[in-house]
Amino acid sequence: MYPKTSELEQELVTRLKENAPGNSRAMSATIIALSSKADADEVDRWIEALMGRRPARLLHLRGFSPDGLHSWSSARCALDSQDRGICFEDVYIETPDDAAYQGRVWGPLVLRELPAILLWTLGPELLISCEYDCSERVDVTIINGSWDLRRYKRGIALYRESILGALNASNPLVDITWERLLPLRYAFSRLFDGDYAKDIDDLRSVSIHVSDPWILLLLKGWIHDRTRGQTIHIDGHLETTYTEFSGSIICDFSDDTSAGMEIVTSKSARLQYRDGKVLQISLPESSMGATLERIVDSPVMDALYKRALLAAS
Amino acid sequence: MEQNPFAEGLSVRRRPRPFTLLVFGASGDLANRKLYPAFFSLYKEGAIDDWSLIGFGRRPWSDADYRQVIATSIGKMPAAETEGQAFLERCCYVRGDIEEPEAYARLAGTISKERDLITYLAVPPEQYKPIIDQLYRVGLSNRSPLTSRLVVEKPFGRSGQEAEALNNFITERYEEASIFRIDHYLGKETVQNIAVFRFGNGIFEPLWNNNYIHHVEITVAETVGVEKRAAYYEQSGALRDMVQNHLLQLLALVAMEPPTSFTSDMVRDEKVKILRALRPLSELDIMANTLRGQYKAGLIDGQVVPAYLDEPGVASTSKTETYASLVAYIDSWRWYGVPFILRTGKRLGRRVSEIAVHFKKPAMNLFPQAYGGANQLVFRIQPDEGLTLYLNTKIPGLTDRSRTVSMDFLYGTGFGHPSPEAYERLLLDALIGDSTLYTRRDEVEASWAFIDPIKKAWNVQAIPLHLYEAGSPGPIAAQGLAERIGAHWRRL
Repeated sequence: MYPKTSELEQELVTRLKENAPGNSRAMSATIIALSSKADADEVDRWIEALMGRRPARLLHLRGFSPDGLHSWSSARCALDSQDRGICFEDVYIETPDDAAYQGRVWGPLVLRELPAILLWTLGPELLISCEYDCSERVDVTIINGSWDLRRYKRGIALYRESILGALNASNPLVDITWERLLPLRYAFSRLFDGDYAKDIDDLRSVSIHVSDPWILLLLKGWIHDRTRGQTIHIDGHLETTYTEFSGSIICDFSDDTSAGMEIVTSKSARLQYRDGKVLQISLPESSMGATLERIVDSPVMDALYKRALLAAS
Repeated sequence: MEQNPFAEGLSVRRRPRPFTLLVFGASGDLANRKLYPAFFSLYKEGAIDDWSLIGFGRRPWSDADYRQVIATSIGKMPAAETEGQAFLERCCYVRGDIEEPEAYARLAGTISKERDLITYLAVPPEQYKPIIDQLYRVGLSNRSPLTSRLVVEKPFGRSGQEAEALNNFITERYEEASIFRIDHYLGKETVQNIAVFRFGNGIFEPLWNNNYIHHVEITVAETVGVEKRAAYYEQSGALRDMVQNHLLQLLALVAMEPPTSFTSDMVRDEKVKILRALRPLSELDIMANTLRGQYKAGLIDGQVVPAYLDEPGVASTSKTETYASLVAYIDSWRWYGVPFILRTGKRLGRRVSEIAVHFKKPAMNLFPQAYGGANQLVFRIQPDEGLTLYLNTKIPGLTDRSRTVSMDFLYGTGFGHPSPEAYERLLLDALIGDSTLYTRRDEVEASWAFIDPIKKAWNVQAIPLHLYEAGSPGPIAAQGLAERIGAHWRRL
């Protein structure tokens, strides 16, 4: 049994009119969230962060549901500063088997002219073969590497291999974890701005302090890739004192001087330059909502991600 | 390494080097209404991090007094309570008279020798010269290897001769590349989008010429009167206040050739070519192709408003125009024969700034039942920033009739976040040193070269000053101006 997409579409029109009787902003994308019933609430929380930022159609696809076949739709809106509705059109499909994941089920519900973004939470192996037609029907697939790895039983090395396999299969892939590292990478890059760029030639070792192994692997790989040709010792420390995307990176130079950065709050970082200068800087926003917004606006892969993964061996 | 390899791929905004922003006119209306809020927005959004702000003025203020003034200016902005204090701590005040050399010596002692200096003249134009001269004398106009930039507001002179003299004066003290002449229209989102629209899409540029375009209409209509600016406006009038800068800048952006790269000098090279290609108007042309008007009493938004002549500070016999419209031609291969009709006025029926590109009708009308005009593409600058393309389409049903429908793009509905204020964008560009959205000396002088003969003719010849009712679309005679080129003004 499959849900009738035409009825879901009709229902959406009605719900949208009910929720935004005036003006609603034009849709910007379809987000297709594949998850198990057990992970559904967590995945919904991620997407929820986009509410009020970009209007989107959300397809919540939940396979292997113990509750059998269910499908329904709804619409909800947040009002922007001009009282226009920034709306979510929600379509929920739950099936007792994997039918909810099949492209022929959800494909007709994708808004044709807009970016289609697949949020993949079914683990890396199925991603490599791009099961369920993802490459045919979407512009980009999103994973959440840090979250994914915690559920993956075969270890970080094989996880990395699997993601590289998916990248080699030419499926445009965006890792939310990598995207949310923007403030950390930005703060670190500021240590080598302008005249400080020449300090990189004297870099002897880098010490990374973060809370998450996937973040550590990505940062190590990124620094290795960016300093290719140089022999730099990079060590990493997992520290519970840091939360999520905070952390610090210390650089030691050949003349025994050092420089470093530390994320102070989600909006600011403290930099100490090699010459002793100290600077507090503002950081770009890296919340889940801001990250999803960036992906919706520009659903393309970051080539540096693959390079970082390759260099992280 | 020469370049920072860690910065690659970080899609974060451009950022200025460490700088001091020095504001003259620190207690003035412009600084309070526009400058401080724009600067605080940049701070709040993380666009600036290593900076200080120094206000210079005559008032006997302490740093605390000055901070209170800024706090009031930004007080109603989001995050003012949470982030305002840290912002204010970086602001300080230097008291002094603009002609007092000792004050500038004190000022020079206050300014960090490790930071770029950006000086913003938020003062009346007559104060430009003494300030710039004193800054030069104390070595603040050239601080190599640090940068020293100067931001000046319009009006940039009241004629070509004055503009040239002012340019000469400033360029003897500042390098041309360090002079940022602000035209806040260029900071508006839709105005910036003109170039992206034209050169970022492949489908319009082939049509962007005299083969397909019938005429281009540029409107900047205001509902406000002269407000507190009567003394300035009496000397200026609509032609100098709006056409010489805003409208001609819009014209240049719509008409310019594609630059070879989107750098400030390349873009401005192309704009100045257009301004220089404006066909000079002879006296006869001015009589036939220009029109001036002045508002009478009328009704705006349900309120009775006085005539221009009854506004405080306006001479009862004033002939100053509050409305100006004209037909301009660009003598270039692309635009030869295409009229550009421009209009601007105060106390008009609606606040509208837009550029409408009117395409030619199809060569042959296959649909005689059609009620539809030629295609139009409208860039709405304010309000409701966005684009509209007007197309003809069949009316559904058993009819053969057609009518015009519009395809609308609204910035407000297409994107979730509001566009930044024009001043915010322009201020950040000045801090960074990107002058793409600022006018260059040759642009200013080319604009005046087109405007000066019109103003001169209006001043000395018997060109009528048409009165129009406040709240109306402007003088009735303006319709005739458009009709002579086979056009109608878009409804206000």
